[in-house]
Amino acid sequence: MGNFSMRCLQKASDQMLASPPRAERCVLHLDMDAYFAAVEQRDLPIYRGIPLVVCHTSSDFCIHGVVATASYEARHWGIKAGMSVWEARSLCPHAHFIHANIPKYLYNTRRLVRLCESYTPKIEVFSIDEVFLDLTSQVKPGDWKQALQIARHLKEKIREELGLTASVGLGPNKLVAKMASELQKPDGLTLVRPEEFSAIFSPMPVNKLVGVGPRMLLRLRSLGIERIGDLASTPVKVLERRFGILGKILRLAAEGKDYSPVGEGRAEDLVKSFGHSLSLRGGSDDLDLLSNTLLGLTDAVTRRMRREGYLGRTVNLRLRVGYSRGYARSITLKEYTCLPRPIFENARSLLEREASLGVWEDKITTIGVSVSQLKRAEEGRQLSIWEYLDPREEKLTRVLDDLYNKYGEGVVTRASLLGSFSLSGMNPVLP
Amino acid sequence: MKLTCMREDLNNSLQMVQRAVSSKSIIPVLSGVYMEVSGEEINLHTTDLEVYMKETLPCKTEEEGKVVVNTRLLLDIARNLQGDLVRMEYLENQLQIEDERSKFSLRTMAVEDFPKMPEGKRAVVEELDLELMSTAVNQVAKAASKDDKRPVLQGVNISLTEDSLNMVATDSYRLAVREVKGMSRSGESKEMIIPARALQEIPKWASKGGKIGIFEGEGQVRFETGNTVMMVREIEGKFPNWSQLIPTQHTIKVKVKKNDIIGAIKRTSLVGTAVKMETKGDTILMKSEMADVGSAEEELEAECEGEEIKIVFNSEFLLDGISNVGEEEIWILMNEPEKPALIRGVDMDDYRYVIMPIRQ
Repeated sequence: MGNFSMRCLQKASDQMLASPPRAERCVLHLDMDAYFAAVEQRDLPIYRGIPLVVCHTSSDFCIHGVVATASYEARHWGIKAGMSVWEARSLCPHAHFIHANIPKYLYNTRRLVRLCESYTPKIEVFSIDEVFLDLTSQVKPGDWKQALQIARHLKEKIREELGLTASVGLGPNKLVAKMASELQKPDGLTLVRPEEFSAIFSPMPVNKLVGVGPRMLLRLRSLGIERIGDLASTPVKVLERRFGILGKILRLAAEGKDYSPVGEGRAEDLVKSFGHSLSLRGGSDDLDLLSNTLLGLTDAVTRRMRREGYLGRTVNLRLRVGYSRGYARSITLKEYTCLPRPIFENARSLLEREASLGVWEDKITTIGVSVSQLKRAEEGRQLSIWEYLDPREEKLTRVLDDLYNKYGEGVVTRASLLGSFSLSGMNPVLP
Repeated sequence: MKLTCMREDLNNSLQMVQRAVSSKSIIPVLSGVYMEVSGEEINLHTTDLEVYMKETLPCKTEEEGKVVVNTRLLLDIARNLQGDLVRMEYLENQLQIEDERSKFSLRTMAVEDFPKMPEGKRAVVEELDLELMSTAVNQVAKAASKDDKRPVLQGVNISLTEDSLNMVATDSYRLAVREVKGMSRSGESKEMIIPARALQEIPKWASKGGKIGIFEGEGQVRFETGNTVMMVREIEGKFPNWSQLIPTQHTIKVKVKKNDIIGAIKRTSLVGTAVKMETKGDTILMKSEMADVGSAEEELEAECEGEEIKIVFNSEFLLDGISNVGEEEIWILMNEPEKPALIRGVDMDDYRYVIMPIRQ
């Protein structure tokens, strides 16, 4: 969540190196404070004021998985996002652990984006809880006071309409704005003028620079670079020899320069995959049961994809053997789809292949399927001859969807899923 | 082995057979060409075990013999030598190649390791105009699939009846059919699936003119013309039943000049790969649009019958289908935006192309 890593720098590398924009820009970075936890605390008063940990987990009682967001109360105990739930529990046993409700947060993000759009059309949805706003045309050049006013107004609006707080950074570009918003949290508002950059950031350790992660930190340290100021005074040629094109970008970043424009990221692009998984009590190595479970999970996953209007082409199978860490296998199809059959058949063949390898030393305790490499259904899909000649699955799926919409999930189910469990009914889709 | 031959003959023949040499083969001898000198002829053989090719060229023989040398290297030598005549001689595991000025010596490989050419004796088609066959292959083979998950679709289905030869290929999104009528052949009806990649070699022979014969062996099919022989392994399996796919009823008919619409597709597809076609009165509108890139649009004259329609196709598939029509004017026959469309010439129906649209 919101991890501005090298990927962004690399993606934007040509833009960053593009010729500098003519006028001085004014960019605002908005970062929601402890986003998932804050949304939950807003919606349920009993969560307020206690350590609350929102988890990405497949287990019913938040035993496995990782921490998505920790509330500020929980952060006092040293709980951080990305930590395993088990570790977080040992740090603060009395904290409250709950499941992440991504659709709810996405809904909030969409509202947030709409709010931001009322200030400027040039916005970039950077992650589920971060947005960049380009205020250049809203503010007179060099008039940072006006920019601060807009920022204050925006924060006030977010508090009023969403009941949430945000930390805001203002700067001459995305990089500086993002680093400014990090300076003061929660509920902060920080302005870093271009001329102030080196005074503020030079003494800071180099990993505070956006884009420098643990691995880059090690590589920079091997060159004797410890602080952002060290990097800014390293000759470009040295950096280029060591890091290639990235060297130039690093050097520019260390000087607080970033020419990348505020792009038009859409809130919809944040959906990366659809998936469901199930823990099997006591585990199982019965291939029929496992593949039947997979069928139920696939039904639930594809139903959600159709409901939200997505097609996907990469099928991922997730397995957990005994008490080991889980592992995943995936296959990419030629065509995008949202129908259960192609996804189930591929997930099952992945499962059969894994089973035939004979490397499972214990029973399977968790099984999951997810679909990634998504695109919106309205972007179009090449129809195939075979589905024209045999449109039965598509027709059946459409009828089932109509039934679910009218009478609720799970009113009809596959005969093969009867008796064992009805997953479609178990996984109600939130509106 | 000792002989003299024309450099140009050797170069041309090697160029023909080197197509059956796989660069990725793990069997070393398959990177070689098997040369067999008997009488006043050299036979060059190559194979990648899927396709087997043979070329024959004339030479002046002093001593008969057999040898296997690296194909790529021999071809490069034949291409780069300066003289008109090339002399070759086998001496103790080395093949010596020379003209007046240069002299090469190549290591040879074991002759007995080189796979024998499978036999194919039964005639399926005794004689067919090579140019006609080449055109037909060009019209159909490109529609074959490149996906190795369904091998059957990587092939062209050739079905033979008493007086006609029918070729079909599909990659699940479009299907091309070509019928060749009025040919002389004996024997019963037959169906076979030939890898499209191999079949596409045939048009490269077309400059030679003449006739092509098709023969059959155990699971293999042999194509033979002049000095060139190609033996291909048939793809096992059953080709899907496609006849029900070709629409017989059409509610919307568009008649348009082939070159006009080809130009329009090429231009509009510069922006996006999906091209939308809209009929309106006596014009059709070609459009494409790509989020974050832009849009393109072109209007062209056409004769339209039936209701107005908006239908989206993959531009590459559409272009393949239309450019293979052998006439100036074409029909685009449609029913609904999500149903298959049929493309054919206005006068002849021996070539038909079915294309599935894109749902938007």
